[in-house]
Amino acid sequence: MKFTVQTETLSQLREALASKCEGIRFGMEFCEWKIPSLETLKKAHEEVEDTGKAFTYVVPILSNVGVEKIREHLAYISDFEDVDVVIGDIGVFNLLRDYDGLRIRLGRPRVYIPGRSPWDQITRMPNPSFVARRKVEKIFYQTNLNYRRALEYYRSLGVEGADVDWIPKSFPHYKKIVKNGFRLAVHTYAVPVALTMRCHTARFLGEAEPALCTKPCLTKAFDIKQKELNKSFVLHGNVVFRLVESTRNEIRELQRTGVEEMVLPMGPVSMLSTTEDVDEAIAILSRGA
Amino acid sequence: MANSPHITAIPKILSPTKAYTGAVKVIEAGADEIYCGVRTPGLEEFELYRGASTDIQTYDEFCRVTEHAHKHDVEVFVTINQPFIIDSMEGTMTKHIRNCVEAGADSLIVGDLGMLQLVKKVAPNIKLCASTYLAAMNRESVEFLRRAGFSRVVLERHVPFEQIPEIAGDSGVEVEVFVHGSGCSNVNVNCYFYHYKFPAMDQGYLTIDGVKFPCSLPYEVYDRGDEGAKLGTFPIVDAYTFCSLCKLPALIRTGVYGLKIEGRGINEEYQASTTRLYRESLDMLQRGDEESFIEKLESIKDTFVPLPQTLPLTNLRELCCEQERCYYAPAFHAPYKEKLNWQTWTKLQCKLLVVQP
Repeated sequence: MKFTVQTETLSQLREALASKCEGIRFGMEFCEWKIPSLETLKKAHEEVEDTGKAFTYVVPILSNVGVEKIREHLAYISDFEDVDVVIGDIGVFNLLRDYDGLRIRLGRPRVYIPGRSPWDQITRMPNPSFVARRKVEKIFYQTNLNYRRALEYYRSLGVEGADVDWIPKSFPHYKKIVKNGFRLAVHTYAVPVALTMRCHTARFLGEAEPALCTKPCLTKAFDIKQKELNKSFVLHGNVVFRLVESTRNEIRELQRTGVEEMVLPMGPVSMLSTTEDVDEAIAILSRGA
Repeated sequence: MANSPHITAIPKILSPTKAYTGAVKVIEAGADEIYCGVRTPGLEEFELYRGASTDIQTYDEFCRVTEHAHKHDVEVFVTINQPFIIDSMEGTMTKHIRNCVEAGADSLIVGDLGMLQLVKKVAPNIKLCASTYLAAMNRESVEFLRRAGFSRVVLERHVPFEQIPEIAGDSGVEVEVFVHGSGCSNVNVNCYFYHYKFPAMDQGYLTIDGVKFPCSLPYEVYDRGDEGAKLGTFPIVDAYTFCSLCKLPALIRTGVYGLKIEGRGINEEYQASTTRLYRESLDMLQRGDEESFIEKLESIKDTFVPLPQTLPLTNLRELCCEQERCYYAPAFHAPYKEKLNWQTWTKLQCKLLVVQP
């Protein structure tokens, strides 16, 4: 299994490049207002290319404003071989009709996994019978890619793989997706629980409007705790995450699924900010081997 | 109402229903189209966002709904929108789709591209409506969905208002937007804060000010990475919106085809009174009487009571306007959020200035 690092800025990218990771992901997974400029993308790609590491460009859900930026970016990266594009917005499929060289993966906003929920309760039924609970459980930890017609359809669109999360109960279902020829990348550290376009962080900090946002989330996240729910989350920009830890047994189990990539996110959620942090994380996540 | 005179520029009203009796009421109140779920035998326990109680309970009852609707030239849209389907659900969903179509559904609302493949196989001739679950927020998405076979697309609630005309214009599909009822704090399908740890939807709605959805609750907020300094307790993930009545003239000018009222889970009185409110408002605007509409808005806000029996808040003004819970407000608009005190705000801003890359 290879390790890649999700980066949002050039400084993060440079730290990650110096680490033992095998690939770099660059771009915004969830926020279109942080999409880098074309110049920054070019710089990022050049720097990664020089090292021989794999380069993956990440695209979030988009409004019309974001679409125009991504149109430009796809035109640039389509000139290169061996670039993966992770897409969070279905509109990008339409843009990709103009390019055939790119390897396409579905981003996390496009992969549905009920198991991302923070609740232990998996059905609305107040006191489900054992049988009912088992029945729901069999569905609850699967994904929208555990459906052969969905896989066939995505393949017809040129999709080769997808991003999923560290949800151990879903690992057996990931295995089935891999068996069907899809390449999977599992994100570590945090599972996205809620994504908004009315950015919670920006509203909290009094940012005026998206186009003028000072992007405080590049360096800042908030721990948020809800007493009634007895739950803690991390708010990072426009996403609420729940943190996950990876035990040695889980790592071993994941390796048996045939998942090909583990993604380490740099930034204030994982608190991975330096080359050393990344190398240490890779060492820990390799221990299951 | 289907019989009232329409010009093409006036959008259709799409109203929710969960029972035959409710369908009769919303059609009488002026719905141009209705939408509903139908209980799926074999999948009753698996309900992520709404309980089976928000569905029409049997295919027989659904048949009565379609018969009544068609008699009044009202089309019936059925939500086949579990946000996903897996191999083991295919048999159940195949029967369900077939039963809904045979019972007279005019269109199916689909929220997953895998489900779309099944629907096209089982019911190749039915009209398809792309659910908000597909998160269409730009014209490329709408074009992609058109090419995938949809004739109507419901835009994500978070789409910036100023972009709606660009998306709806010349799209080649009917574009529909939500106008009233739960405007989620988060993007549909990308939110896993399932509400089922909370009171039933009816009660949840009632406590809009007392807040009973996970996204509306107050959270203790700590500065991550600053030795956990507590900043206070805020409803930090609350971006809940509810009403777009004031925006109605502007919405019409965007060129959208349909205006969707949310509330399959809420009671029939709410469904009917909200439909009537939008019907009367649209009819007034259709007559070209925008000034009267604007004048009347103020009295509507004071007199319109969505749920007279039990609502702690008395009218639309208190429920929505005073909290500024307006659909299609600017993205960072949040006057209903408790403000940070100035000391905390200053502290945070200073720190951000220092560490900004």
